[in-house]
Amino acid sequence: MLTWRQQSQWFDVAYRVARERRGQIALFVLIVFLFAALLAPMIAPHHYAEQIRGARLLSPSWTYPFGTDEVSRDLLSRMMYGVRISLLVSFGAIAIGMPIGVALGYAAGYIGRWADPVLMRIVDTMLAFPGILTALVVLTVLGTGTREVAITLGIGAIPVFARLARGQMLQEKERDYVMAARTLGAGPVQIVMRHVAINTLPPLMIQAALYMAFAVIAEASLSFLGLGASPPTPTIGLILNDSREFLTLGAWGFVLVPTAALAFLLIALNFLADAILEGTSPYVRNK
Amino acid sequence: MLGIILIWVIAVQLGWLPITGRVGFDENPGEAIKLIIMPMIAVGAGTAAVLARFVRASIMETLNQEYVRTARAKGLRERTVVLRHAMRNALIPVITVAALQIGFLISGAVIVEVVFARPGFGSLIIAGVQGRDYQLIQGMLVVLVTVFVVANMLADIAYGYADPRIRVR
Repeated sequence: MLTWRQQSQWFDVAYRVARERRGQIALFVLIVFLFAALLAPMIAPHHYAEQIRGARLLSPSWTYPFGTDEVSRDLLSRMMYGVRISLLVSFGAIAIGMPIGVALGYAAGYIGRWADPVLMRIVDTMLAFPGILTALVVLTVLGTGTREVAITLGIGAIPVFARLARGQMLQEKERDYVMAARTLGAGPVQIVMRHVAINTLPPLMIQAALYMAFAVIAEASLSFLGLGASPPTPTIGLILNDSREFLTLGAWGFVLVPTAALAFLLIALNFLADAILEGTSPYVRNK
Repeated sequence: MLGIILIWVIAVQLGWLPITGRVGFDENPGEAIKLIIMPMIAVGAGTAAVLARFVRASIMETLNQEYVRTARAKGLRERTVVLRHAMRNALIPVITVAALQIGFLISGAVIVEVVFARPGFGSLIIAGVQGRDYQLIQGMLVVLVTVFVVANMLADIAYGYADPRIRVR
């Protein structure tokens, strides 16, 4: 009888992440963000667009824990609503881009022969388009909005993941354990998914963490161009953009809050990536 | 961000290097090199941080492999163990990312180009997109695709040197 941890290597990884210090910190921060996002309409003290008379650019205080912005809106409420869109866009982008990119990369790397040059030249061409140009094209086709921005950034993530996954696959498929699995009669899908996939994870996880932080910023630039969320809807990136010009005007709370939120998110994601790496690889774990 | 702090310390506070301006390399090579150092640091700092994360993840994995233990057991110096035995096998993702960065840096250094007042490829392509200058965009894309394809081809060749088991045809 197998315990639940032994049923799948992925269960075991999840268990190890939850046991590890950095994994716990990462999960804690992400859960706080998630709660703020999900419960925003219920627990936010104000509506995100509500302007409070006489409360312009206040520093953090008991009444306004994060202070207020340049048009007298409560920054805590705006951050809570903003996290929703930012999380949606960054997780959505990864959820779309990573599986497609990784699948392309695995296919190109494992099959080789004709598939490798064909798929990789397509990926190279996708890579060469400057991000903003791809975004404009996709958003022109799909229309504008938060969901469309997530799809756009997801498409932007495909080539990078494809390249990384292919590089890893090229190295892993020459290993003896792949030969052993093939000798035992495992088909290509089984070899790749059950044996190779978990060994190619490290750079992919790191890339996912970095790309999610990039997606938060990129969403702000696209929204700034009028292609994503439009004011007064808040996102972390947009609040960051708004606050920039007040950096020299002494409104430190306004600048610090979105920057700190983004930094916490990025650190949590990197910790999570590290914890997953330690969970997946016995070589990293034994240190 | 780190780039901007560095600029502030080295150029503004210490006055060691000029910030903006442009001198042809053929007119005054020394001055031209001095002028290019700060933008290079600004562009390179971000890339360095990204590469460092990949190197860390990948070297941690290789350092616990059996052949590294064997190398240590042979009594090799730690430096030799890390640089000759572990590093080569940790290089694959690093090569991939470095090749991608080369491409991104050519079109993606817009902010640095603006800060240092050195209009380059990034600013030009933005101008092309904003002005709907289709010929300009087409031309630049051809150049960019070439750069990406060549950079990735070099990466494919480099895979073979880092790990001779890999054979890309």
